[in-house]
Amino acid sequence: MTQKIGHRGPEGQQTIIDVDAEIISTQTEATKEPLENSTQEQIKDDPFAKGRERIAAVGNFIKSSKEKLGSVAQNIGGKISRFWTRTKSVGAESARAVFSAGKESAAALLSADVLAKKGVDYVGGAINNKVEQVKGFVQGKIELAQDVALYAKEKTSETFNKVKTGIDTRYQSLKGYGERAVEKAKAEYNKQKNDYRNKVNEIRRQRLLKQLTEQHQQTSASETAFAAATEGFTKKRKELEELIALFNTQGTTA
Amino acid sequence: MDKNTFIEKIKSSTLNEDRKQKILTLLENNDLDTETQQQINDIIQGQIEEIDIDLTPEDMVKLKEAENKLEEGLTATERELNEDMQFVENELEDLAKIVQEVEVISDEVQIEALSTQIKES
Repeated sequence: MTQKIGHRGPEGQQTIIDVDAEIISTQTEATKEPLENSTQEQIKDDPFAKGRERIAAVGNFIKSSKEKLGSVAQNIGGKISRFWTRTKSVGAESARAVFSAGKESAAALLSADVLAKKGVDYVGGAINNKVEQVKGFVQGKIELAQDVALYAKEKTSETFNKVKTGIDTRYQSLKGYGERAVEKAKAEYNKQKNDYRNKVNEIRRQRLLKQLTEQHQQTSASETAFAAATEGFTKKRKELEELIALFNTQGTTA
Repeated sequence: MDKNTFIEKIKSSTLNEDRKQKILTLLENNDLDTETQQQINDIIQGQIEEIDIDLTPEDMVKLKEAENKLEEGLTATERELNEDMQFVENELEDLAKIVQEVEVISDEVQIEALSTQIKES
């Protein structure tokens, strides 16, 4: 007897589509009658309770993380979108403003030191968190901050468009990173859940197999005992039949 | 195995009717993708867990090991996702601040542009 449910296939895929539900029927039938002479200590607690509870909790956490990410991304995406709509004409206005104010006065808005500091300020506490994974984001943030500072300094349509592209790209990248993180967590979660279930199912399968083997041995012993008894009864019946026949014959001849 | 063959296999299985129906409904409304397979797996596992098998203390030790491994893995997954989500949320919020700053600059640009227009007219 093999239990296919929940086992991994040769390529590491769940062989759920190989479900042989016969095992369920076999197990159900086999466990209807408890072992008569089982001497092992029986444990009646639900062995899945704790695992099931934890699996459900993490499943809900992943689901709520996905929903929260969607909500935050939608909120910020909305803000960005509204801003772009409002500043559709900023390119032309930038050119006029720069022409009017003159580059020198616009450049005076931010010094080189302020530009450099701005990049660092924007990065803030993100550096300590998962350094390797977020390195690209940190660098992108510095560059975006520098682009913003340059826009503030030059106020041209080119610098504005560069900021716009930078913001759009960063928004999409962060959203994508979050979505991939959720997908990755979900895949890991499913793997851990399946591994755990496979392990527990295997423990139960082995125990059931032992119980079935014991039942088989008991049934075989009973069958042998009954066969011996049946043989004795058959012999006794035949003896009685012979005696009855004998006395019947004597009665007839007397 | 294609979807139709799988449906036939489910129909002829010894799963209870309620579970069979749940699986068939899932298959009617979804492709047989990983997500659907996982949900089917959960439904079948439910029936497996209903089967009463008396476990021994020796089994319980093995079960505890499996439980610990599960706990370890889930905690790591939870922690990593939490960190990732926190990171993304913080960064998106910072991005909103940057947008706000750009908004201010753009307002300045528009004010300057309007001012130029007024002076010119």
